[in-house]
Amino acid sequence: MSSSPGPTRRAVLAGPALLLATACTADGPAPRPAPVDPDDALRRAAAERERALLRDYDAVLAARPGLAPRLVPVRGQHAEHLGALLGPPASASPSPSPTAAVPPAVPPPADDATALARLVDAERAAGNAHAADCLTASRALAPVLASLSASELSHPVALT
Amino acid sequence: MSEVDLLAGLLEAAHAAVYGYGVLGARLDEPTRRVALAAFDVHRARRDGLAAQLRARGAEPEPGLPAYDVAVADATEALALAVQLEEGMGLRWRDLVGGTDDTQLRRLGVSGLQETAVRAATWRELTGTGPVTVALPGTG
Repeated sequence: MSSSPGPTRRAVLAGPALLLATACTADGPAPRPAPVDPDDALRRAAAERERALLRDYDAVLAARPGLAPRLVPVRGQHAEHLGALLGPPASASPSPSPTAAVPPAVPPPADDATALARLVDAERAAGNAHAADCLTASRALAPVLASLSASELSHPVALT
Repeated sequence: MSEVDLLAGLLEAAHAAVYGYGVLGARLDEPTRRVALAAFDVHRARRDGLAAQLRARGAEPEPGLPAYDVAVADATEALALAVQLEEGMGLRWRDLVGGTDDTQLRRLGVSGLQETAVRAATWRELTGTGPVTVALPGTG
């Protein structure tokens, strides 16, 4: 009988062949994804925090230029932080930052005290985030994040 | 460097800081002396905490020396010494962060570095010269 309800001859033959093919693939040199350095994500997150701080300082400097003598040295340290995380910038100076032209999401501060308080809050938030990431970073990156954290948390001394 | 070596180095520096603050505080005016006294208390607590960390690792903490070579003639030198003591501790706290994978010790190192950076900035501001803060506390 040519019509059989069971498996066809082709299917029976193909079964082991497929298994064999699968086994060959598993044993062979499968393409592997490039190893991911867990520090990369931490480094990127820290760099983004520094860019956000640079934007905060630029926004306050634009709205309250009288604060420049106090703010410019601290802003410069955030630019140094970015360099410590990413290496020296391609251009001579990271100022102005590429995103400096983005308008601030919040209205400009009404007075110096409000402006400084806003920066103090931003510094503390960034300092605490750097410290949290420091706990899971490699031994090479952890001290960098620790220094950045300590620097941010010391900045309120210069701002108030 | 082992964790015990790092902690022992920190303890040695903490002994020196406690002694140094005891000396420099006497050269400061009353409001500033109160700031120094608060720093003295923190360093003493850190010193005791470091000794406990060493004991927990089976190491005998070294006692402080009877005296340290600190000469402070006036308030300016007192402030300079305070900055120096904080920066010295900062270097060692940062070394601890990079010398351990233990989360608890990492946390200790980061908070130690944060504290020294804030106090160093406070003292620099009182000296009235140069930048108040630095970009990378705990580095040369």
